[in-house]
Amino acid sequence: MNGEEIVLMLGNEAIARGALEAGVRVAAGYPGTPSSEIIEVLAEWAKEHGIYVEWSTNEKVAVEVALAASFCNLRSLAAMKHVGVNVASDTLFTATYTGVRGGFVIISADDPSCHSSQNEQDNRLYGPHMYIPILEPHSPQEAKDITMYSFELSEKFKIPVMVRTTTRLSHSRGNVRLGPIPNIAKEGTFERSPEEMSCLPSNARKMRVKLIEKIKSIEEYFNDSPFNCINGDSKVGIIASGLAYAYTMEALRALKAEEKVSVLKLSTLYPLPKKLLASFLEGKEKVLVVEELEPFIESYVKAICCELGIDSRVEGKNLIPLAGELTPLIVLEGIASFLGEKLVSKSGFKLEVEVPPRPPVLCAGCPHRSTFYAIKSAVRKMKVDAIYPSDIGCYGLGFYQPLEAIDISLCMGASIGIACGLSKFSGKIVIATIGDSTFMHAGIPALINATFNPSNFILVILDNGLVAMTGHQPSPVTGVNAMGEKVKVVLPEDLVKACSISFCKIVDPYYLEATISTIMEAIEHVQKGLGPAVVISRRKCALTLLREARDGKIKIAKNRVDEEKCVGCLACIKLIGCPALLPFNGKVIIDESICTGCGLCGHVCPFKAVMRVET
Amino acid sequence: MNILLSGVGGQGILTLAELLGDAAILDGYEVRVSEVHGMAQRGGQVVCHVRFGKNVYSPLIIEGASDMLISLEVLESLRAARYLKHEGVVIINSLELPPPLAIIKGIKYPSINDAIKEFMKITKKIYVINSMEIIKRNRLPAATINTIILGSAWATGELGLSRDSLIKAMIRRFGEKWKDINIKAFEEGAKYLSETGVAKV
Repeated sequence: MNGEEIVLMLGNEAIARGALEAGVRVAAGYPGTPSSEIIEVLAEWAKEHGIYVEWSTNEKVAVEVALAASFCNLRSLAAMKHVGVNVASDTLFTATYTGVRGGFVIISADDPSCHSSQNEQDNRLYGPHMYIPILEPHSPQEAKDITMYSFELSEKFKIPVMVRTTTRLSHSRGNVRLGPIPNIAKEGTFERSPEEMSCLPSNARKMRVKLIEKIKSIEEYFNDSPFNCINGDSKVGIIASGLAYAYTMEALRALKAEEKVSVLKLSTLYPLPKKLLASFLEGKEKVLVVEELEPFIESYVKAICCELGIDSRVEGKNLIPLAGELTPLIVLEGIASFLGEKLVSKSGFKLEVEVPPRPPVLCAGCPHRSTFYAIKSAVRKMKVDAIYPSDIGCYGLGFYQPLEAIDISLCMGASIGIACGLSKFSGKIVIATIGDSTFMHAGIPALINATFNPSNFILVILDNGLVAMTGHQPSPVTGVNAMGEKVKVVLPEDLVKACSISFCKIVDPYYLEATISTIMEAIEHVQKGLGPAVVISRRKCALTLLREARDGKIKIAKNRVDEEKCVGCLACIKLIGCPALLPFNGKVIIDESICTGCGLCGHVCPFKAVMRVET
Repeated sequence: MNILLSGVGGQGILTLAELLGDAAILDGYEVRVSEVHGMAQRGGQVVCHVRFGKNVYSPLIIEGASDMLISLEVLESLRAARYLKHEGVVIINSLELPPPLAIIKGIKYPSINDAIKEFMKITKKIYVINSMEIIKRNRLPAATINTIILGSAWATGELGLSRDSLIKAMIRRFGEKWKDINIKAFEEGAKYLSETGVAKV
């Protein structure tokens, strides 16, 4: 893939390619939808192009590793989802003070509509808060070009630069023209300059003054950025950025209004280029700002109009919704209303049949299903009133019917801190669940707290050996790193013991009875007030089991329904909701292509109609 | 050209979308392919938008503007129905995968005839492909469902992509080793559609 070839490329892959073409030497991140493919792709290319790539334990560490590489005069990149930037923000807020040496680019992949996130925060707002320049592309080609430009910008002004993408761009494919990959075999070098890199108060005060000056110069620079452009010369204007620009262009075409409206496409979002905006606004009767989530550009545009005495009418969030991802239809309706055009609905198609929902479910044979089932069984048997804080991972699906095993879920690692508080103030038995990687990411300080400030709750660590939800990236328990090197394993049980926790037991959730009785013991332990009790529920991800079985590495059993015994009561489906169980001719059949033989269906079947078949 | 693909996570919708995107690039178009799905690896609904033409900006198709709807599962064809334009083409793989939640909540799973009746309100171009039957009859691997459906879509004459580019894209993605099997699956899918014609209730 060298030269002038045009290929179909994922937005995230285009960002990675842009970094590679810009001569990136170091990349770090933590998996999180919709950002994960950036680091994954760079890791695949690492050996061939001599770059260093890592999955760090969390986003803060990733930013620190990449920033350090920049301090060593290497171009570096850190990639994460929007909420990952919150974790990294402590470092980033001060990294703008120290500035950088090698170009340093942070990718923030935002998730409007919370497709796979707990919130839809708009990370453009970090721009004015951190004083970090932000750019946003609107197509895969531009994602590559802007990433390359951001490295130049970062080095020119000696400042970290953020590229903001969203799910729709990160996960869409488009034509991308490949450029050459520079052949740089570069070693890092470090020149000491403690006053520029140590943010002690005496230094930080001076750094802030410098930072303000930098941002002013960058604003000037952005006035002439090739990624901002104005089309048309009309008294009616639209300002749009990112995907909102793409939808705007389609809407204007659909309304045959391309000639009637002039469009300012903005890609440099912080600092916003004042001169460029003023020249666009001057003489406009009215202007609509089309942007996803917060009125970030709109507020600034209104402020400029006020400051410079421009009397254009500025519209935005009165026509474009504040919540949720934009779609071509939403933008079309907003623009039609702005232009005073009536829309004729093309599809008056109303379905008469009810379409049942199909939310994502835990996979067939998912060990989390068995663990959740065991937790609920233990609670039933002990007749206790339990509450369930949980965390971020596939196991979040335990919230839904029929498992309903989650009461509280906020952000990475929160289950344990919340459990510390709940155990003291709720008067109930608290059973928290957290995945192995999430535990390593942000759970450990809270578990130390549980000993430091004695708290009686049960923590179940769901250890499936990797980061499952985002696509099977390695975690510290895996024994392999991003570049495929064998590394030492960090075991959750060793960490738990190091937190001076006396109750730490390991179970295999496929052995359901043993798992239930261990959780019952844990409940007794906290009832007696003996401190936190940790149960590590260890079983490889079901998808790993299937893959290993297909590759002949392991043998797995399958479950099969005995047609003679099955009465078609559907208790199995209703109680565990496993997608391998399918109603068929008044009975149930098991899809053996996805069954891992976990046996949970057999456990709940009132007619003992499930058999175990060795393969 | 707007093509909407729908199905269930794990069915390989994305591979099909990528094949269409690759073929469209080979045919010289500007392309956007977008996948829309929720969290977790499989089991939920998955939709892919494929758009190609001269100037394409949006990765998403607007409701009521899809020229073709290809669904690898019956229920998911209905969920995606609002995207189809009047007199658009619908191709439904006759596989039924009832979601566990529907059973838990006691919601009836619509039959293939229910689906055909619904689509008849806006189009006559409805094609039902029994890919399992094609696979069994021709002893094809189960993973060729995508290629079979692709062959059927091409055989409607309304896909807007050349057979050469589709085959080239397939070989590039699946490898020379699987070339003959995939060409066979493509042709069987095309033949099935030509022989069975549009669906009737």
